[in-house]
Amino acid sequence: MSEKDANPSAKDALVGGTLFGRWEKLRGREGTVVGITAILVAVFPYLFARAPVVSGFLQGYQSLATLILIWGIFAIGFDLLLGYTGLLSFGHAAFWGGAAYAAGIVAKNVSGDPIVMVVSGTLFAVLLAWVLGFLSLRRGGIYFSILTLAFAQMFYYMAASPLAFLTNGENGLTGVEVGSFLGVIHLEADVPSIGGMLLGTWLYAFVGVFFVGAVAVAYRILNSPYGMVFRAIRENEQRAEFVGLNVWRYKLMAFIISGGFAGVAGSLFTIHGAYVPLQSLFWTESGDIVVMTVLGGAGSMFGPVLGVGLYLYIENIVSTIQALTIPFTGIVLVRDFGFYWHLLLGVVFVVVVWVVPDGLWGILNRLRELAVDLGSKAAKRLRARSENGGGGQ
Amino acid sequence: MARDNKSLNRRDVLKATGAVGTAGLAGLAGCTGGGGDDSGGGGGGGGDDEYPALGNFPIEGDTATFGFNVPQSGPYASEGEDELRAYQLAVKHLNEGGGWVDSQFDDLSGDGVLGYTIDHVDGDTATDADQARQSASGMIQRDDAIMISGGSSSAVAIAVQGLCQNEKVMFMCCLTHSNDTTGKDCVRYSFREMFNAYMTGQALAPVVRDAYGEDLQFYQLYADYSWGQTQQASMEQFMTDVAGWEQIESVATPLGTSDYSTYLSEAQSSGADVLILNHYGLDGANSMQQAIDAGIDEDMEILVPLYNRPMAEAAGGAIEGIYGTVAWDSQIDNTPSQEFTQAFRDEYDRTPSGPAQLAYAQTLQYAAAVERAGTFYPPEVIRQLEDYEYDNIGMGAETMRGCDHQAQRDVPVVQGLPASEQSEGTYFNIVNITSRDDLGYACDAGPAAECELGSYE
Repeated sequence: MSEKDANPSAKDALVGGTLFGRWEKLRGREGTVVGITAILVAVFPYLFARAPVVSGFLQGYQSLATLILIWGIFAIGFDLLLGYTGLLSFGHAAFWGGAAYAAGIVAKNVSGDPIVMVVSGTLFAVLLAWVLGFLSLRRGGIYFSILTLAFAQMFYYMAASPLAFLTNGENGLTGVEVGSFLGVIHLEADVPSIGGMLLGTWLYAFVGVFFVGAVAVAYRILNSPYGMVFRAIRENEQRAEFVGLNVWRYKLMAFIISGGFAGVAGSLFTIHGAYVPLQSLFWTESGDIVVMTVLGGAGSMFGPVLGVGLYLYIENIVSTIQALTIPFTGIVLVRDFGFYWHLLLGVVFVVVVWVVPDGLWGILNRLRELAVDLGSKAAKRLRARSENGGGGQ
Repeated sequence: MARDNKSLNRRDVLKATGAVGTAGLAGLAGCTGGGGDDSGGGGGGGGDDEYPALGNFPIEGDTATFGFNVPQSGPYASEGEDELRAYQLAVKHLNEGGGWVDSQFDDLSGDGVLGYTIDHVDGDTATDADQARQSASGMIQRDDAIMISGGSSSAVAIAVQGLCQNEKVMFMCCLTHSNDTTGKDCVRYSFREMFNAYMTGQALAPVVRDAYGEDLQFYQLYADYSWGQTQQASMEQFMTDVAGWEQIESVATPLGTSDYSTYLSEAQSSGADVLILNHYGLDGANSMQQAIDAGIDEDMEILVPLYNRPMAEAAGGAIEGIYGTVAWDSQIDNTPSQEFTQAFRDEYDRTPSGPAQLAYAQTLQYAAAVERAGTFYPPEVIRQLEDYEYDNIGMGAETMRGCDHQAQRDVPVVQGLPASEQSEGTYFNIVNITSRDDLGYACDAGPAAECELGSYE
């Protein structure tokens, strides 16, 4: 879509006068995306957990808002691989969980500084992605998916038993002490004054900064020639190869980048919970991220984040609804409604994939197109009427 | 097309920004108002209570909420269902009187707790530590739960009690048998009524020595994760030291194994006299059933250190004559046990399981401690529970030890009944209730040696 604009053509370059204006606009665009993301991130927890009427209806709470952003980072990174490069990895739990454990173990043994935790977790995930990518990308398609799944499961079993002295096995990594940010700010504490109203805790602010950063980085990658190569590989690997691109190298890079995003998210997950569950390495975690990404819309920048939001919302909030009632009345439709949350999620997923294969983001796009369509039709009619009226006079 | 979309997109986005901005401003206005109210309420609360705010204390309004976090899906769902029944019964008795509230707990009035009506929310742990934590944090942050209880697996209990320690909300463990819960992973905000793997070993060893004799050789299979590992280590220690048996081998089986035939046939050909199956839940039902099908019980004695109801139900007649321990059983003959069984039957028309008794007891123990403390302020409630001595939940005289928050109590040793004598809720024959004087360990020994409880505040 936008790479056209991202690479001003030679013709534009010739029109030197407008070039500067164009560049300004362009710069504005990336700024706009990041800026709007920042604003949404800032108001989200307020609307979700504290706003008078809205949050009462949504039933949200602070820690879920934080968790949605963390998984959002994971999903954006995963989408770089699935949606843009066309590689379905079934082993991203290894990077998410691996980073979570790395961050937790560093916090226990070296330093509980949140920055140190994120850096070490991410570094671990990147190195791991390098190795696993190097091995798995030898094969394509289904073989690649199965290889990644197999490697990730190896890590699960390693963490469950042989490495239990490090990971605390089935009980999960307990006793992680997250230190204060820059030695002054306790992440658990509330942000003072207006910031506290909007953001809630420092932890959310900390995660929010990483989220906005992740959006900026992903946006930059996708709108660069590098990102274009990813898409070229997705569309036709052979052609990309014939053009002279080193497809394997780009695929490995996409894998490593997405592993890096998973690493940031996994480390933040440890900071968020001060605990690492063994399940964070289990294959269901890899499955979750695939479902979230596809649900939201693979191949779009923000779609996967919507998918994450809906998935976690159903998992954590809809699942606690005791009885489904018709709003504003006491009439009970379904008892123990929350019990069926898996089923509900399954139905939502099937319907979305069936009706709108480009996910929730696709629905939003269609709605927007519809609105635009109606708008332009209405404008045309208005114009036609005024012309007719003019003729009459 | 791309260009068209882009420009429209930008305009839409600007519009959206405007809308969000307005909403944000309106929200801010609402918030500052709310903030004012909040501090006013806080001031009022401070007047009738001398304690600072901590976790979900002080409670707003006149309703105190308990969070019951039990497995409602997954392998322990039927156990979780029974726990939830007991929790709901406890809440009912706390508010309206009845059961132990009238007869066994003098501290409780049957008219709420400290004048607060008790309400509850429940959640599904799915026997998954991660989901259990999410569920618990929803209860704490959204529903303002003042106490969390539940768990049907040690990993879940350990994960949730860590969260509760951070959030400064009390956790009353339900079924968790691992040494680690009150050992190396113990926390200040959690209390465990259930005994642990260590005590199971201590209780079981003398009974099986008397039943099968000394100088036997035993072979162990254990589920390869922390509970299985601590369980097999405890069994090895006590079967060797107390029963005077000798271990031939101890073999790990992967968690979630469905076919144990290779492991079992190796055990059978090892020449050992006793086979110990350290498996729990469905794994336990599978391995036990397969051992019986393979005819192992004809050449060897089988031991199942920890029984639970879904396991007994699934294994059916296979448990005949097999020794193990249980949390509690409705056949235990004393007043509190009978009263609880009766109250549960009256309400649900079924026999309560061991975990149900734990759930009921731990809820009332918490409420009684709040009454004694005269406040919901968690550190005061914790101090009331620490080193508290009681004899009102049907397991004899007990102490909730202050150094590791592990109840020092008797352990029932049972033997499975043949299929013909089993009925709904009755699967075991109580062989012996091992006195707490023969069990346990000092505060600086066994699992307690590794326990550091953490801070009160």
